[in-house]
Amino acid sequence: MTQKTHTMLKRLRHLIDRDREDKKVKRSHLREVLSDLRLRQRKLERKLAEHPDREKRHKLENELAVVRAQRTKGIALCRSLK
Amino acid sequence: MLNRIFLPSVFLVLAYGFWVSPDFKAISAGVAVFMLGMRALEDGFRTFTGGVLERVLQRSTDRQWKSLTLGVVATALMQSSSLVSVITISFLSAGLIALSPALAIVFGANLGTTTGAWLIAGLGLKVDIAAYAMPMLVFGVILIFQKARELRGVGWILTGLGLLFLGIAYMKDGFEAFKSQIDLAAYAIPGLLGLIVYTLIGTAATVVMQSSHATLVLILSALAAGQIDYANALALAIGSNIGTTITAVLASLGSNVDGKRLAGGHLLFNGLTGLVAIAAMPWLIRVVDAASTLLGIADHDLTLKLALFHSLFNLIGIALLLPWLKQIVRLLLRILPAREPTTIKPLYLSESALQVPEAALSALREETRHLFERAFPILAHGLNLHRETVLSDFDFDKLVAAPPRKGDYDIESEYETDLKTLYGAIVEYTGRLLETASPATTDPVLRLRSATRWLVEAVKAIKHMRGNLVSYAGYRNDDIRTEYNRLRAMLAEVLRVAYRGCIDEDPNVTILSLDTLRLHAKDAAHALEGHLDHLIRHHRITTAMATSLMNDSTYAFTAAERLLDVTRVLAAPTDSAHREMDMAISLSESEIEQLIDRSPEGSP
Repeated sequence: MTQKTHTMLKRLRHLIDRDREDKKVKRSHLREVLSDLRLRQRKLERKLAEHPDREKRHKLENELAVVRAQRTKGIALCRSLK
Repeated sequence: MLNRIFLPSVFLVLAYGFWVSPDFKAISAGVAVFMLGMRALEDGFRTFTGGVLERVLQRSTDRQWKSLTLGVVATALMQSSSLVSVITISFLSAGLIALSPALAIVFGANLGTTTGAWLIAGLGLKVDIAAYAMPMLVFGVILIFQKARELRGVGWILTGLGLLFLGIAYMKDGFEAFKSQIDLAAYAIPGLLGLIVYTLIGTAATVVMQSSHATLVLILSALAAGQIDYANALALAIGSNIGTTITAVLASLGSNVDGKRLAGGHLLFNGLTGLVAIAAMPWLIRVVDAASTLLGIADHDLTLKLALFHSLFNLIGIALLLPWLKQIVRLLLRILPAREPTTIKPLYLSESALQVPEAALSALREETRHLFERAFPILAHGLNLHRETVLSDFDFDKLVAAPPRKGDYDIESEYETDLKTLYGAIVEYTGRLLETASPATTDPVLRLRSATRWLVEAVKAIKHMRGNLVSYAGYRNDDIRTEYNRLRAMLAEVLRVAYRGCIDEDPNVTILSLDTLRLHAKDAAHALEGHLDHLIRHHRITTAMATSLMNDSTYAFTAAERLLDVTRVLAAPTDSAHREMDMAISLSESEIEQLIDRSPEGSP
């Protein structure tokens, strides 16, 4: 193996590693975010069960719908990063 | 407060006077008709402003003598020194003329206004001018009802002149008849005391009637009827000259610094001229007598001699003060300095930071936060809310049923002083930064520049809706008030979260948490459409209210959207990978629309 090929292979490995490192950072952040979202979802579901006021319930339902939609998107994204 | 006591007192005194003396009634009616005539005349001439008058004013102020002559001629022609002063102030405020020529015009106007005394003394009291008044009134009123603006203007001028003549005739007849009942001349005070007392009376009468012309015509009528002593009449004329400046000073309290300076100059001129006239009264009387002989005015013609005296002492005032005009201007500029608008300067955008793109990016980020901090009270006040209320835990849903409330806040001037300079500085800085920025910093710089633009757009949107928001928030119609309050509540909620995200750096405010507010805002927009249909169908609001609400809701939702966009930039993680992930999970516009469609009922 020539010196030139060796250098090229080294550079390629470095690139792949960087991509892998990048994905790792993103996945780790996503896991944190998804965990927060799950906690928020549970909290909202609890609040919703307790709240009798129609207007407040509507707001909580909206918030819950947003969190669920974000979680769905987040989980799909996390899988695609594997 | 003053008006609450003063006005009823004047009414009571007048009513008592009318009851006791029919002649007093005639004199008072004469004053009232005369003043109405002055107003009509002023309105008539005002029709022609915005054209010839302004052009003449602009072209005739390059030399001092021209300005002075202009003041004399314009006032003599229009018989209204206040109209000339008002136009001069407007030109001064607009920066079209300087203070020095403006003062020269006002000095000239003082001399020009004395032509009124000549006309009244020479014609008004000697000829039966009431006979001329009638045709003038008839022609004038016919012209007032014409469509053409110019004809209407001529109509008001003719009507004004007719009323002036009629007022003079009433006063003349009133004093003639009054003579048979009471001899006011018996109250004449001789010497210096009389001079001072009658000067004060003349000043007070002019302040009360807000017109030196009205005071002069009263003095002349009373003098012609022999009801007042000649020396006292001269003192009254001096008083009327001083009184008219007090009226100008009172009027200038509400104007800008230019108006105040001009009124100050006017007061200085008339006050000093009055003092000189009082001090030199015996000499002045001799000069008037000598000049009267020269001009062929009979010795017993006291009214014309008074007119001559009036012109003479104003002429002396001009001769004494005009050479000192520069010094007067300097004095006025020192006493009444222009308050420089305290525009907010950038705090972080330094030249040195530009050398290092990362440092410049950080400075730009901080400056954008600074801009938000400045915009925040403007936005809160624009919604008729205290900034403390927005920052507290106050439940904005309570705003919806809030009672009527008025508000007074100049959002435009706040924008000019607090935001415009800062916004300009940020735009300029980003431009320079982009010239040298690496691809990694270009994106964040562009995002921050967009954030500043969105922030200004939010302020502008609130400004546009504020007029209706304030008036409808004070309306008795519960439905329209409630809808505007709903918009206020929605915007206040967004503003609170935006502050927490952008300034407090609250970790709970993230790109993802903002999606909820985006959904709330969209939901509120959908709900408003439903409410609007209902209110229009059931005639709960007028068409004008409905269109205002439709336009203003667009402004409100634009402002909310822009504020959320700003927060998405400033509250986003600085790490690009984290930001990328948050943005990827954040819901798109269509996804938010889908969430609204999931509940067909919309908001309760």
